[in-house]
Amino acid sequence: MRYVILGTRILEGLVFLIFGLNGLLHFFSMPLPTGDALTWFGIMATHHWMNFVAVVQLVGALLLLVGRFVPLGLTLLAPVIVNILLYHALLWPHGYALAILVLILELFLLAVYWRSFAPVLHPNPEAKTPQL
Amino acid sequence: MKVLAIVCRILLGLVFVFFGGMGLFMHPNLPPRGTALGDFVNIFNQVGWSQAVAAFQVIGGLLVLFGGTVPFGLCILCPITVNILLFHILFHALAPSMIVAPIVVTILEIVLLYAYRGSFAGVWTTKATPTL
Repeated sequence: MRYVILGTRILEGLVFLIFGLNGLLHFFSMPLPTGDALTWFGIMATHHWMNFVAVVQLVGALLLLVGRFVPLGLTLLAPVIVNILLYHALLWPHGYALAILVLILELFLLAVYWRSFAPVLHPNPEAKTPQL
Repeated sequence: MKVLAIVCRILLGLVFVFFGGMGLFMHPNLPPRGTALGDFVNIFNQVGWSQAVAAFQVIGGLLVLFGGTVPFGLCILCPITVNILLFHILFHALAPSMIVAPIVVTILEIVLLYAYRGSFAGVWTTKATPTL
């Protein structure tokens, strides 16, 4: 089981490392969408929104790969994955396979590292909050 | 700090329930297509992305208003706040007067994240051990 967890972490880290680096350096070209999806993607790219997403992906990927602050890395990547899924569900359905794969990896890691996230759902959060 | 947290909670919750409800149930008055901003918001509305965000805003706002689920509500609202802030920073030149509300929301969010930091301590652990 240790190696499954390690493998999942490395795989998700590598996927986001590659796409995060590509978002900043553009060393391989992604197939471009058409129509509204292309217009939207163009606006996101020219206004540097994609660069911000790439930086978040890169930081999350490095945390997963290095193995320090793994829950923080998962926290950073979770909203990115939600947005990737929304993009594929609403704007451009092609090429959703990788998004589904990343979602499965992320959900598995969230389950495995659940001890770090459980306090977020604690029924009485005020009791856990340090008093000033 | 306790009173401050309650005030921030009510403000943040009401703002997001209000704007989320508006996004869900009212027909927005959008700028015409042709500019980057107009294209962006129109596409966003057409495919239903803004309705998805609005639904998450209502859910997050309600969770922040209810005492027992504040950290989970903050988890949902945090990426939304980042995206709202990013939108207004990157498109600042196109709508310069709109930046105030996102900054206020961000400050409320940061105060609450700090007030409930006990619940998020698990996310910041350096070496989290996975369990299964």
